[in-house]
Amino acid sequence: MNSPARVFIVDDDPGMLKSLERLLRAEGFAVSTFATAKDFLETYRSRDVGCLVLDVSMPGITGIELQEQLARSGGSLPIVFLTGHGDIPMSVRAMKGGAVDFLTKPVEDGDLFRAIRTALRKAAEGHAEACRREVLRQRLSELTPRELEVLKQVIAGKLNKQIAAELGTGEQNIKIHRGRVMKKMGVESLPELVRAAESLGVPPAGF
Amino acid sequence: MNSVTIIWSMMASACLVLALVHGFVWFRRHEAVANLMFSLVAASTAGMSMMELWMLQANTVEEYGNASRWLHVPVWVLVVSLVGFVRSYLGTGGAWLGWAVCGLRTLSLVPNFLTGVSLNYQEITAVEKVRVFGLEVTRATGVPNPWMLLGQVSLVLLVVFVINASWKAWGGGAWRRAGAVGISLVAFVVAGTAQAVLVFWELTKMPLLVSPFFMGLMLVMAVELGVDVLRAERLARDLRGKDAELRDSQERLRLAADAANAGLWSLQGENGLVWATPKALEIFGLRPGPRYYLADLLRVIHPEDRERVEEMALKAQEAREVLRIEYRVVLADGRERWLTSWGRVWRREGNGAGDLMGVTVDVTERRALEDEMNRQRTELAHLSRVAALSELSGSLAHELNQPLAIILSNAQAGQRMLSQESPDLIELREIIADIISEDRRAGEVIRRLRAMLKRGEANRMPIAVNELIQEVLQLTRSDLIGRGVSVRRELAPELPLISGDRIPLEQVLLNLIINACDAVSGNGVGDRIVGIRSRLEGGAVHIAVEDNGCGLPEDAEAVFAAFYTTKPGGLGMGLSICRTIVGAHGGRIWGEKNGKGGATFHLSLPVAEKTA
Repeated sequence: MNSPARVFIVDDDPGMLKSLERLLRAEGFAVSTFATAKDFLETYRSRDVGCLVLDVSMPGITGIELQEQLARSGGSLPIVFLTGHGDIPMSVRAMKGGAVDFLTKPVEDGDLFRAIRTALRKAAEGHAEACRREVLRQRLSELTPRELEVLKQVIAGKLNKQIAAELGTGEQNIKIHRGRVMKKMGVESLPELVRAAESLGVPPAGF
Repeated sequence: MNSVTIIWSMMASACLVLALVHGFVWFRRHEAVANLMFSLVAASTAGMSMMELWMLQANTVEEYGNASRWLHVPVWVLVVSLVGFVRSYLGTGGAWLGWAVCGLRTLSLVPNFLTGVSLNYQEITAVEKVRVFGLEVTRATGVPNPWMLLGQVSLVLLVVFVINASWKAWGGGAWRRAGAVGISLVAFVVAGTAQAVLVFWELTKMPLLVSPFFMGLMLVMAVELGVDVLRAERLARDLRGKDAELRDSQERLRLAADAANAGLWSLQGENGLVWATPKALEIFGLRPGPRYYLADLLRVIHPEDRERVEEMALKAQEAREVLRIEYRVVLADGRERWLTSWGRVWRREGNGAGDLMGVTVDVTERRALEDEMNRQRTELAHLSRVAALSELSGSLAHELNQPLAIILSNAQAGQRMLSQESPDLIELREIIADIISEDRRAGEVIRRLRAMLKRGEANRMPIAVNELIQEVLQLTRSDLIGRGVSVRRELAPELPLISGDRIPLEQVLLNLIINACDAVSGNGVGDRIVGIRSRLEGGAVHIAVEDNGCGLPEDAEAVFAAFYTTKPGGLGMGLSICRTIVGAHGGRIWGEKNGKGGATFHLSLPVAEKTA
């Protein structure tokens, strides 16, 4: 983890912003507040870990629009929506867009905390997953081209003999390559390798 | 019997008959002096004829002399009554001239009886029978009496008198009368006199034959008087006809007035005596029968309105046009009635106080209906306010929600802080301060809401237009945001205050803004723009609400009609009520298409007058 998880709050009502900040700080969260979505976008880096508490109806870029923008730019910041209305279509849209929760104001502290913790958990999991992937990617980049080919054949389920024939080399070479790939990738079984390749998006040979 | 006797007797009787007829007229109507005079003229002509007959039949000098003497009595009567006739018939003729004529004639009677044989003859020498026009008559010869001049001068003066009178009468316009009388009188008197002169100065062999000339005169006069009778009869007939027409017309007027529930009345200027149709009395709650005066009318008028009515009645004396006033009367049983009266003063000749004439109508029912209508209009305005607000319910809920949510979070934060070991008191104090201010904010929203929902009575006060706009925008803020509408403001600084009723004006702006939002709801996201401008133009504050939405129908005025709506389930009352409200403030509201494809609604309100 690079930095501790933060809760980012965006709300155009200053009174609302301050009260939420107080509440979350009193509960021990790390909080950053923004009056507009634009301010938030200027500050946020995609490697920041945390979650977003967002008021749906704001002038300028609305909450939903911000959600869409973040999704487009590939961010993985879980969002908890707050709203003064109780608009069903809007909530459906928000949930479909991947929001963690959609709460109506006035919001009970318990409900808010629960949603934030869920979001932070998701964030942490996402972050861990991202880190893992990063490690694997790093390892993948250290494979030689030959080893990469072997990897693709192996996760396709081919036998060493078949792979040897395919690649035009001896079965023994294949066995050696296979061992080296496993070691470099840091996996101990074939299923693990397959999962690792999948998460990296490496296609099996022949597909 | 002698032809002369017959003819002269016939002439005399004809004259007598005329004398009797016209004497009778005078007897029945003493003002008909002309008739009396004429009767005397006729009688004296008859007398003259008889004397002449006597002369013409005379066989001796003595007879002739007597006849010629007594002849002058009827002649005197004739001359004097001719003067009287001309004066009374034509109404003109110099008085002194007339008196001169009469005086001379009277004077000439003296020598007639005292000198010589008669006025004409000093001495008669012989009489002889001659034949004139186939008739045998006596002719005399003798010495003329110089005193005859008196008589002849009087006759000349008579002619002058008649000419003078006729001239004046002609000048006065009675030309027919003047002509008839003047010409014929002059002609016949001159002819008769000439003949007499000729005879007496023995310039002719003819005997005295004056009567026929005067006969002619009689006939002319008789015709004149006869024509007068005919004319009078025609006038009487016309008058009867007019009278009947008048009664008809009055009756129709009365019927019409009754049917219209209108009472006709008139007040006499000098004494305040009241004439009124039965309907009018009924309206005033007065019993028919006694004579009423202005004071009686004023007594039934409501004390609060009495002075006003009196003033108006006085004012009417000077005014040229019809004046109108509404006031109450109190009936015997205490009920009040509202009346409207119209009246105008009509002056007879002269400058006295004119009569006030007019119409009164009972308008109690109409006023009751008007009151009811006003009440319903207020009710409708109230309902439309409620409807407008309910459209904003989402927005309102949000307006209330925000403060509540802030209070809750602040309070719960405070709770947590308190359970810490050493709570930050400064922060806690801030929390409480924030809770209080948010609470007040919520209170404001509720107060404004309550004010808008109240059935308001009119409450005019100075209002700053920009403030009003900001308030309404605040009210609609979350709605606007929620619908993705952006608002552009161009509010001129330092606008003068307008005088108005806050709530209804807010309602108008609210309506316009909601309409603008609805209009742009079909536009793409990010293209929903509503603009609000305020500026001073002429003597009025001008507000414009424009949108780039779906525009207006061809006839932009149609949208202001009651029940015009494009929303399903819409009442359609919004803009028509807006117009009523703006009208009541002395302003104007209208809409037009704008260059962006949408509509712009303009609102113009007069600047408040500065009160000293």
